[in-house]
Amino acid sequence: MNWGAWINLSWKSLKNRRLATTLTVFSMMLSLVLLMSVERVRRAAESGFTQSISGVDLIVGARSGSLQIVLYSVFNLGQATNNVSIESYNDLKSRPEVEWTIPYSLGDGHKGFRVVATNTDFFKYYQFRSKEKVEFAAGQAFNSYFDVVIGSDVAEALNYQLGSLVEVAHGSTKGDGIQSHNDKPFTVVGVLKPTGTQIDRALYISLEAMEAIHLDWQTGSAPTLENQIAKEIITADMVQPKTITSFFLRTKNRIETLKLQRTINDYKSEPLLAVIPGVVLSELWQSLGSLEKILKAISFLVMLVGLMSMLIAIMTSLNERRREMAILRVLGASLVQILNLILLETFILTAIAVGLACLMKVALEWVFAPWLQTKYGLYLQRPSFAATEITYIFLMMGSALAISVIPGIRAMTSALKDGLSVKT
Amino acid sequence: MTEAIAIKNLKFAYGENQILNIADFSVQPGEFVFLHGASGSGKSTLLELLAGVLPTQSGQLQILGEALQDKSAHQLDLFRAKNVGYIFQSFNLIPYLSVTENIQLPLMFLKSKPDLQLFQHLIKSLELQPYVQRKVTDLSVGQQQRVAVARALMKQPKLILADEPTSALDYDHREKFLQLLFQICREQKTTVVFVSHDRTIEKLFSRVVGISTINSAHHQPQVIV
Repeated sequence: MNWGAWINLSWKSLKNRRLATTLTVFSMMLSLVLLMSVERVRRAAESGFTQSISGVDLIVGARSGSLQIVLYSVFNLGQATNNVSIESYNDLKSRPEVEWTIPYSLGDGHKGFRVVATNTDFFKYYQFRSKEKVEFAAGQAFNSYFDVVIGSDVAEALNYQLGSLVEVAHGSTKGDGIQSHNDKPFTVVGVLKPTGTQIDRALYISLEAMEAIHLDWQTGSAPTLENQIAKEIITADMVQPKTITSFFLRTKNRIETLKLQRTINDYKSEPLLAVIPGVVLSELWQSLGSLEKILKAISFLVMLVGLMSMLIAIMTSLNERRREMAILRVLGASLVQILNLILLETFILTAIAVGLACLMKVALEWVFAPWLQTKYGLYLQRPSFAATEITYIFLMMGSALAISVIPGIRAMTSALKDGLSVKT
Repeated sequence: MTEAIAIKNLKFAYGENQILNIADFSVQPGEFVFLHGASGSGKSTLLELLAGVLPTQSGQLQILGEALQDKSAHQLDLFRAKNVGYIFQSFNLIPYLSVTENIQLPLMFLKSKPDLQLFQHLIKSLELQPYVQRKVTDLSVGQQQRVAVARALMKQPKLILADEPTSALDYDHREKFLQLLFQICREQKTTVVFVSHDRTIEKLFSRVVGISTINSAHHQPQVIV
């Protein structure tokens, strides 16, 4: 078969119907772009969700629900019902099978962002996605009591730079707190790089600082002026932390993890709960699965609409092209060749639509990836075209060709019926 | 020598409506036959049968020694692609293709390469040289008809069927057009069956046949919408 001549004929015929062709290609392209974008964002959401934290084998908190521990420790959502005593923490931390830990002490906030009290091990060990570490965009880790390191979202939203003064609100993570630690402002000493995780939406102070700002508080309320303890007279002894909220733990050997989890859950001196974050995170993601299915169903419907618009465009064109078909017939085109011509046109249409859709998808990702990552914490992971996208492309081409058999057969039958005597 | 066309008891009807009933009619190779008749007298149906576009219903239809009544639809398509050149009354070019592409279009269905020497010869004889790269819609009606002739002859068919190709031309152009057609058909030893109701040009043909003299079917012409 002389492919060049056939493709030339189909191409020029399509070009002759420029408007209908363009619109058809456009609608098919959009439907495929939507389908692929939804898939990509879904994948990003899933991995962003399940990989908010990595390299942590166990998260340990006071005994409550395993979901609750993950929510308040990793996603800064909700409150802990109880604390972990520093003795238990130190005991577990010094066990031989433990490689490192990161303590977390929660409870205070700043203008809608959570304040996390931790130690410098956080900057050293905390990992997210595939072993990415927390990095500084500016400054460094805290090293005196009233230093604070802020996440990138915090810096952007509140327009803070190094040296900005921060007042921590007591017991509040929403809006301005009722009570404020305004007698002990913090100074920004470090700004973290965007990570696309909850880290961006928090402020980090030392565990000692957390003690220091609550030093003069009694039974959960702010001190009166005469009872205030001034910043200057605070000594290291005064601010030794007594409790923490939870801690992340890494074992030296993965095999130890389950054994250690059991040990912690059976811990005698206080009720503790150790959870494996990966397990809880994927359970949680699966419970959000129906949303994912609805998104997918909508995308497939859009793809169907794209295919239908192609069918309609080809069907309507057939009537105008009866004369053309009659000419081709009499020049020697067989009925099968007429069918092939329609299929070839569909193939060209779809191939252009797929090509443009891929270009548009790559362009959209290129334009929106940084924005999605910093605004919504969606990190578009490689590869851009995974097996699912390739499947969608072939599905689109396959169904387009299958559907175009309908106009193809119609062209055949009308060519047979019309013979050479089409009066147009 | 095999007859170019040999018809025996050929009948054709659309439903109840008998269009053709030709007992005996034949054309020798190289003849230029002028077939005339009123509208609805079955001229076009006969041409479609000769071209193998319509299947034979009953009787025998031999073209170039091959019995069309025994051929399948696919064989008819192949036969037509190989042997029959067809010239329409009008609107017979593909509007979005250039002159060259239109002329070489039939070769696509034959799976053969264009004979460039023949192509040059045809466009020269038909005075189409200046227009080969133009779009056919930019050409005059007379030029378009000459493109159609070139297209019909490009695959060197043994039989040319023409359905009133001159009706859109004025008298001078008609005569010139036919002389060009005959000149090239003589070179290629092609048989021509030319259908028209315009008898002013019949003197240019080697044989003139009234369709009513060979077709014994009588029917009321119908307006087909």
